[in-house]
Amino acid sequence: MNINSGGIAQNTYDAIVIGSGISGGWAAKELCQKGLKTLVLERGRDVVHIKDYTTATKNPWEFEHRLMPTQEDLAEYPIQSSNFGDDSGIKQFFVNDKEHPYIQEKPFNWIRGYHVGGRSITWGRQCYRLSDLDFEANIKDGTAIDWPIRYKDIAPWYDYVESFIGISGQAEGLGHLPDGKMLPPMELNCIEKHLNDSIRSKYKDRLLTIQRVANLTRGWDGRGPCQYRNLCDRGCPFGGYFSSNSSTLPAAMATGNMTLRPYSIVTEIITDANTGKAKGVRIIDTETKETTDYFARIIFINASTIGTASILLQSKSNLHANGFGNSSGEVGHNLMDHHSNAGAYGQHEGYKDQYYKGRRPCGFYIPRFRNLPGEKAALNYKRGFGIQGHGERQEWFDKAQVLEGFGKDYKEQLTTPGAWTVWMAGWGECLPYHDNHIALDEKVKDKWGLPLVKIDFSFKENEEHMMKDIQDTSAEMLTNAGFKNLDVFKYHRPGGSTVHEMGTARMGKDPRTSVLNEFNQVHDAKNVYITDGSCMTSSACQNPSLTYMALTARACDHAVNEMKKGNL
Amino acid sequence: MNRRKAIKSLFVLGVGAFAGVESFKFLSLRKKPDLAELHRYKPLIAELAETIIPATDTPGAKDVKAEDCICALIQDCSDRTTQNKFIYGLEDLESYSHSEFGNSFIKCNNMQRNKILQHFEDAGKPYKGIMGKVQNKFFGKSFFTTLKIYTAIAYCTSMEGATKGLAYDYIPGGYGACIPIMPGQKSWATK
Repeated sequence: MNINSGGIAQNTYDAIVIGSGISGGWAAKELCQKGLKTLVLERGRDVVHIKDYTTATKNPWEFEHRLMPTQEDLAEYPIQSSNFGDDSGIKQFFVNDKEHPYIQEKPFNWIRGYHVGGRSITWGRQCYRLSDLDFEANIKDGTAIDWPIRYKDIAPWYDYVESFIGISGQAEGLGHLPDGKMLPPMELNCIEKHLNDSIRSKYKDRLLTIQRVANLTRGWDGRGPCQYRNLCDRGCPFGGYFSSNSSTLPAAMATGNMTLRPYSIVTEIITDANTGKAKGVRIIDTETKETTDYFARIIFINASTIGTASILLQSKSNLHANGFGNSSGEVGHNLMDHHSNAGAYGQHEGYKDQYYKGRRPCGFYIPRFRNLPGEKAALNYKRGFGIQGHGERQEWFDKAQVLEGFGKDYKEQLTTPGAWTVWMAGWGECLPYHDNHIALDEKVKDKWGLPLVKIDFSFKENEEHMMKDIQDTSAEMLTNAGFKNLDVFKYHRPGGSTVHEMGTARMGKDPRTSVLNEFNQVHDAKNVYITDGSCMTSSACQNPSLTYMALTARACDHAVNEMKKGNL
Repeated sequence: MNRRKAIKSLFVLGVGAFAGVESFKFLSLRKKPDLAELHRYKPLIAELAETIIPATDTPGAKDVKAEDCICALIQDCSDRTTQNKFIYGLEDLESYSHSEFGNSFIKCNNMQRNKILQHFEDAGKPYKGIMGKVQNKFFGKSFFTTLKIYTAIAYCTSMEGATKGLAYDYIPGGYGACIPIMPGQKSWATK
C-alpha cells in the first residue's frame, strides 16, 4: 500500500468532517465559524453553486430525449432511475449503480449522490419538527430504546437552523408538529383549499396546510426568492432553496477555515491504541489512487446513514474489535426508512373556471392525526403518518396516457387543462427493528478494495397495517370532499424508496444498547460525533433532514465547548 | 421522493416483463430490432404524427419535426418489445393502407388517413380491466398507443409546441394559486 502521510503536522487539522451533504455541510459551517481549521472530505466530485448546475436553465427541447430516461440510463442506473425517472436533467446528481454496487438481501433502493452537497441538491426540502410525541414514543410503547433527548433539548437548535435556512410555511399551533421560525407560506390552490375546507369541517382532529419547505418566499441571506420554476433538483441558479452548496458550504468557506477535499473516500477511522479515541482518518484519493492519513482532535461523521455505518464497521482495531464505536453491537442495525407507498387519487368536477400560474415547488400536508394523546380509536398499529399531496389540473402528460382519438379534437383536448385532481399518500413511521440492518460482505469488494454493503430490510406488520389505514382514510377524505373516479393505491416500492434511511448508529443513554450519547458523541470514543440520519433512535413520520441539521448544530456547539474545557 | 417522482417512476418502470403464452409472438418481439428500418419509415412517421396532431391555428406535429423525436424515443428510450411492436405496426399499417386504398398512407387523402388511424386505434385498444393490464405487461403497449404517446411528448416538449401549442412559462417568478381561466386558455407545458 502506498501511504502518503505528507508529514503529520501538514495533515493535521482541528476538525475533520466526513461528508458534505445536508448534515456535513452544517458541521462544516458551525465548526469553521467557531474558528476551527476544518477538513471536509467528500468522496465524489465538487459541485460549485450555480456554476455546476449544468442543466438548471435548459428548456425541455434542449434535451435530446426530452427528459425521458434512455434504455442505457435504465441499465446503468437501475436503482437510481426510480428517483430521477421523470427528469433525466438531474441524472448527474445520482451515482451510477454499476460503478457503486451493493448487495440487496431483500429489495432495497439505496439512492445516493456522491458529490459535494450530496443529496442536499435533490432533497424534497420538507422541514417538520419532531415533538415529544416522537421522542417519548419508544419508551411509552415499549419499542427498542428510549431517546436520550426531549423536545426542549433540540427546540432552540430548530430555531437556530430554521433562521439560517429560510423555511416557508404556515403556523398551525399543533402540539405534536411544533411551529418554527417560518417565512410567509406559499398558497394552496383552488382544489387544495376546497379539500382543506372539507377536512376542517368534517374532522375535529384533522387539518390541511401548505407544506413547510426550504424554498424562499422572499430574499434570504443573499439568496432567492424562489422563482416558481419547480426545477429545484437540477440545482437552483437563483439560490431559491437550501442546499449545502448554496448555503452552508459557502458560509464555511467564507471563514477561511475550511479545506474542502473532493475525490476522497474514507476507508477507516484511525484509532489511538491506548485511549481508543480517534486520531484521524485514512482516505483513498479516487483520482491519484493514493492513500493519505489526516489527523484532528475531533471528527464528525456525516457520510449518510448507510455510508457512516460502513465506515464504522470497516474500522476495526484492538479497542474496537467489532468496528469503531461498536461495543454495543448495534452499528448497522435498526435501519429505518419511511414508507410512502399508500394513498389515494381522485378527480373533482368543480372549479372548471379556475387555474394557476407558476410551478409551486411543494404541495400540501395533512399532519399526523392517528395515535395522538387522548385519542380513543382502537387502531391495529403503533405511531402514525402525515399525508403529503398535491392538487392540479390534468395537463398534457396525464391526458396523453388515456385520451382517445386523434386529429383536431384530440389536439384541442390534449392542450387544454383537464379536470382537477388530487394525489396524496401517507409518509409513515417505520419502527426500529433490530434485524433490519446493514453489514459488510466478507468476500466481495468494490474497486477500491472496500467490502460491499449488504442491506437486509423489510417493512413489517405494523407498517402494513398503517398503509391500509392510510388508504382508507385518504379515500374517505377525498370522497367526503366530492372527489370521483378514486384510485386507492399501494405501490410496491421497496424500502429506501422514500430516501429517508436512518438509525444505524442510534443515540441512547446506555452504551450497552446504543452507539451515541445524548450529544451524538460515540460512547466508545468521545471525540467522534455522528449527526447524520444514522443517529436516529426512532423515525417519527416527519421528513427528517431538519432534525439532522438541528442535532448537528447542537453537537458542534457541544464539541467546541468540550474542547475549550479541555475534555476533548 | 416527491409526488411527481412517485407517479412518473411507475410510468417508467411499467414496461417489459416475462411471457408464458403465445411464445412465438413473444420471441419475435424480443429479437434485435431493425432500427435502420425505423429510420426508413421516418417520412411515414411524420405523416402519422401530423394526422394525430395536425397544424391548426397553432403548429402541428410536422412543424416541430415530431418524427425526429419519435425515432429517438423509439431507438433510445424504448425496450425491445416496444421497438419491435412499433416497427411491425408500421409495416401492418402500410399493408392495410395498400389493401384498403391501394396506396401508401403518405399518398392517402385525409378521409382515408382518418379511416386507417381509426382502424388501428380500435385494434390497439387493450382489453378491458385486468386482462388489459396482463396484456400490457406481457406484450407492451400497442403500436398505436406508443405512437400517440410519443407524438404527444414530441410535440408538447418541442419549442414550437410548448410555446405556441401550449402555454410555456420559462421563469414564472411568482405563484398565482387561483386565477380565472382565460378564453382559449392552453394548459401549461411543464409542471
